[in-house]
Amino acid sequence: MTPGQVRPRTRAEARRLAPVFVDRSGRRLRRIRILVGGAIAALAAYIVLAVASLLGVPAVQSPLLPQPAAAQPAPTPIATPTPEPPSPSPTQAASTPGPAPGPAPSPSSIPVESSPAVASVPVPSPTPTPSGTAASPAPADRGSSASAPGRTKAPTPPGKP
Amino acid sequence: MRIHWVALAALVVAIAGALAVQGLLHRASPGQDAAARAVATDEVPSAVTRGGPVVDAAPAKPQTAAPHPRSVALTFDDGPDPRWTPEILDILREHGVHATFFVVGNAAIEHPGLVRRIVDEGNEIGVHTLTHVDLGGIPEWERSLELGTTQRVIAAAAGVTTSLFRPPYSSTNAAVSNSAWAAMRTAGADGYLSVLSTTDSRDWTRPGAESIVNVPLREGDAGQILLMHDGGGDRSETVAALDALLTRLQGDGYRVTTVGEAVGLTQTMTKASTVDAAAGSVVIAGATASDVLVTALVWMLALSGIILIVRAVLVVGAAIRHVRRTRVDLGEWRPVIAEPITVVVPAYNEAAGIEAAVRSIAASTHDVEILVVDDGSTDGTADIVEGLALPRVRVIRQANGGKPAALNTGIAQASHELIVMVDGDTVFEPDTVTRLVQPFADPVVGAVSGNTKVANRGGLIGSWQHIEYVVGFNLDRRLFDVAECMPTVPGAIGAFRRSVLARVGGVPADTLAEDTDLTMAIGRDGWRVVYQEDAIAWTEAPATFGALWKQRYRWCYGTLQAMWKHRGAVTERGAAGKLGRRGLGYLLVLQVLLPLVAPAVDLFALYGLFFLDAPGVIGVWCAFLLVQLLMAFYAFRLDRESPKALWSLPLQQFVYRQFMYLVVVQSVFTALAGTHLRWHRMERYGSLREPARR
Repeated sequence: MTPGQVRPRTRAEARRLAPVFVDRSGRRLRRIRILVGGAIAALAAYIVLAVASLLGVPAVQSPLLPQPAAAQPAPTPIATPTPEPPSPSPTQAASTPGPAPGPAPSPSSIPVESSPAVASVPVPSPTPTPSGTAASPAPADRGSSASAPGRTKAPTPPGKP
Repeated sequence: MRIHWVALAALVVAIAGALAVQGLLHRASPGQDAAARAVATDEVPSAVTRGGPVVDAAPAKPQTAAPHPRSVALTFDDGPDPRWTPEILDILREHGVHATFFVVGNAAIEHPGLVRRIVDEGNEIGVHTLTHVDLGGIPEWERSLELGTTQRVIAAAAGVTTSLFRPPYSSTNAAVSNSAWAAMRTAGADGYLSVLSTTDSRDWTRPGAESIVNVPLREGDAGQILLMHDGGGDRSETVAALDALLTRLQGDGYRVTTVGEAVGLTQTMTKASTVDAAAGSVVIAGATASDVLVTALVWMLALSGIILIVRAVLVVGAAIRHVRRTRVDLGEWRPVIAEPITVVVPAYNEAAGIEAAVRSIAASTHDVEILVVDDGSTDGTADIVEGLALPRVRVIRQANGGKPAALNTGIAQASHELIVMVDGDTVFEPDTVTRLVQPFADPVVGAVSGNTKVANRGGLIGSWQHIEYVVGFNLDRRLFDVAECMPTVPGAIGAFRRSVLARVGGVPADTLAEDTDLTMAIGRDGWRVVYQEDAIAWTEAPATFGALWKQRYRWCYGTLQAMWKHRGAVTERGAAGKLGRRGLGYLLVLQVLLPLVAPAVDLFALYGLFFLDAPGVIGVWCAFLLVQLLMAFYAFRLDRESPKALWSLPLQQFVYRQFMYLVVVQSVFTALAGTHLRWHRMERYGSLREPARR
């Protein structure tokens, strides 16, 4: 119990006298760094993925409303959208005479397209199942409805059911 | 070494994120009659007000459509619900009919299987927003988010994309308000058809199943869209009424079906894109993880509360017992132990306080031999002591070897069996030594702890530590004494049997808390370690947060080391087992685990304050504060301290508490990482002059 006894004599004793918890090799610290780094990377990746999943508006194909024959003579409207499936640009460029909220959602069509890149998932959406839609009845309305991304995305609408 | 703060920050971000997700997903929704409050309708086109209940609001001239004559579109809102939805689906199947379910996103996230079943059984699905929010009251981007996220969740759950949307709080066309119309326009722009209703079953008012069965339908042959609910509350009446209602409708020759079929829409649902389904899965996974995390937090919070209450009961009960016992002793008190004592004062650069310390011990009424072991000081500590030329004081100089080495030197040179160890920054009262050693009259007592008091108790930091010391020494330490599991005799004031020190191999040097380590070794050797509350030592507490951090970091880390080193005591028998199970258990729960979960508890309290019930959170918080205040008040009375210092206790909850748990976080990380630490030495100010009297 003299102070001299603190000096270790054997290796076992040296291990006993080494400070508790201390890992001089630094292996545990490295392992923890990797663990923490990995966890943070996973968290960050998830946050990016989650934000990407929330961005934009999913493509929705709205079906054509059956028009009450008396109310509106429906023939003309169907003609306009069908002829030009490949280039939706004219419709998109069309001025939106609709009320105030109209323009705001239109930029959302960009995030929708960007989201597959971020999420790195195959790709399918631009060509959804060819349902019988994407046409709005009145020609004047076409512009405003086209600003909705879902509608612009149906490239080959087979026409009115 | 900063890695633990990065980890903690990430954890805080994750928890805060989870809480925010839960808070936003389950935000308090206004009552069912919210639709009634929005009354202005002047901006709603008459085509909508007077048109059919299915509205395409995208075109400048909105289009509407109505269900075919003699058809009834069945719609169920606010689901899916694990209790009611399956029952409704069963009844629909029995009748061979399909319905349209307008699901709420947050419910769909929790029950994706039900969403799939709804679709698989041939029913139609629609979007009813993510959180059942009144869309008219939120900005446009948020409306799109509400609809889009629900859409993606449906895509992930059932593999379909729907074009149907029903605005929450909507009813008939005539009731569409300006704000509802604005919401419908957003939905239209996003590609949805808004589905209103013509007939309200009023099942949400729970009028009785019979009333629902007999819901008045529109007169004549006009098609109907019937509003019902499968979620969002107790829907037992809806379920009870559905069979009879379907029988009635079918008996009356109505065609009961979905909105799409009733109106003649070609394809209201299409196969979902992989991207939308993947995005929905990400949302579901995140929301589910958040839910798990928040549930765990709630349990942890409840458990913490229970632990704090149990601890309060334990320490107060033990203190009462301890006081009763010592009071009996006091009645017949006279010094039994009068033999000479050796006082060992390890000193390393203690120039600021060593004179006051040594003088106070030399003024002791007991017969003492004072050994000042100078551990290679560079500030002339030894010279100061020698200059005092006090009788009974001997200075031993040694090369710097650390505090345990200095103590062991002193122990080796001690002339007497009973040894008092005291820090070089601590001041005794004249009778401190005498009182401290009295418990040695009992031969099973191996060590005695004194009562340390903070001398510099001015200012916030001083008064916080003062409170902490008084509570710690008068409540926790009495509990340890009564439960025979004293885990530590403070370095500032402790008395030991030299023979016991020899048995345990002297003062150990492999932990930073040599006092705790030594005490545990003595306890494991079968000796009782007791608390003598009237043996008082005045110590100088750190006066800055920096110094306090270093001191507490060393204490906490050292305690962790000592606990780990003596973990074997948990399974040992007798006195060692008491120390292991009671003492180490108490330290583990109250000084390690509780502080570790405390950051999460604080975050949750903030969350509760903003998202849940603020008065409730404040009430619970005040209740816990009151318990603490009462305990502290009791401890102050036991120690005959003025309770005025308790003014700073409420403030303690805001800085000191967080400070203390961050110390624990850093200590635990250091222990896990195995980082090597220098001895964190405390700064001395020399504020101790006289043995201050209470």
